[in-house]
Amino acid sequence: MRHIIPETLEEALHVIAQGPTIKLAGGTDIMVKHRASQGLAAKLRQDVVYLLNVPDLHYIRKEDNGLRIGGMVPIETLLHHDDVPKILRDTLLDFASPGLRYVATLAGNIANASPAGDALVTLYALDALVRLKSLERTRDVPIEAVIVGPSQTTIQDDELIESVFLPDASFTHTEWRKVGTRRADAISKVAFTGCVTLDNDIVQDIRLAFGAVFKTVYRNRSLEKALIGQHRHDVVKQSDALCEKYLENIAPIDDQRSNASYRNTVTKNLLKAFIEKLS
Amino acid sequence: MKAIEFTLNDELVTVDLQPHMRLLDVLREHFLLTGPKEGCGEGECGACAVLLDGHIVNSCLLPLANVHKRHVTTIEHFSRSKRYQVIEEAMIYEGGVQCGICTPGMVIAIESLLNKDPNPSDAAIRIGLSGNLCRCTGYNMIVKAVKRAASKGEGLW
Repeated sequence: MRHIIPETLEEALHVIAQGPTIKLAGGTDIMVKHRASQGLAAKLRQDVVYLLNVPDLHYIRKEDNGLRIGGMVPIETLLHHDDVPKILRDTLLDFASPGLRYVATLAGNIANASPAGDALVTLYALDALVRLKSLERTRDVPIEAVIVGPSQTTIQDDELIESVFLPDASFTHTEWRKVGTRRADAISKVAFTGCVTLDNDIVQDIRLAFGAVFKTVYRNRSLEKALIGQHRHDVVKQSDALCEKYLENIAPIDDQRSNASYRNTVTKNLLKAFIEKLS
Repeated sequence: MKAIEFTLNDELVTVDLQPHMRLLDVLREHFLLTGPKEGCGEGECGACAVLLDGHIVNSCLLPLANVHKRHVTTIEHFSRSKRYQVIEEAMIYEGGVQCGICTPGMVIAIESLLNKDPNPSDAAIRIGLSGNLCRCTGYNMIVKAVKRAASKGEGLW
């Protein structure tokens, strides 16, 4: 088994081009998942490429129409960066704890592909584009086409997450809600991000994303689209019906953190509370 | 595989150990620095906290490879500083130490917090300490200790 600590992106891309590897970012999930007995190295069964300290992946840069965030920028840095959208900073304040946030990354959160990944909920709401890079190609893929199920992504062996792009968006109202057993370090039972843009009381844009209630973060663009162009009061009147439609589509599970029935109820309550704020 | 080198407690060290060992095990078993403790082993309790480039991290989650060319400081070294003395006095004064198992990690969390925010609000203190569990104090005494350290140690951070 080989362990490679590349010093440049170029070097990293050459290494991952040679075959399947474990691409390790902060390691905060991988080191727990593959934990061995005290004193022994983690049970990793493939070549490992350590990406956290590759300088080329540490940048935050404004581009035309949006913000590009290098894959290995620590969550803690994003939390204190003025160019990062407020709704994402609100979310990241509930992301684990200061010690984890200093080594955890957006790329790690995406590649881990947990339905309960907190940052993911807001990345879905912000229409994030994930830049996947290999020696041969660069492709920008919507986050919902990257993550296809728990721990399942469409990232190829020879690709890594170079950066995440957040298209500019200005909302009238945003809300992040996390329901978990502890303020810090809890994996969410349910998480929710809502963003809405009103113009003269008419809905111009609305985005509703839910964590931990489906095999991936859940967002329903057709239900959102149906609300666009409506007066905010008319949207409020439909809140019960809208909640029902979401409950028909989500598929929460029973697990050690919560159960399906609780998750359904909380989803409904969070959505209803968000919609009713439009009144 | 090249050897991993990093600055440990102000000294450049080179280690020929498996890169996917946990930093916690390397510190405790190779360097015999037993200030960082293993509580939960999964990043929830903060007993294993050390400073990475001056910022708190959970050493139980860090593969050794990730500290290559970076600076790691443990409580053993931090305890020789003036800042530590101020935190120690404040923790003793406010009753912030009881059984003591969380204390090394808690002190690291306090240092990391004050390093960024020398005069933190109550809310900021609670966020700063949110990754460190203490089963004795109920936290209020530790929050008071941070306030006392911030005021007694004015100018140090």
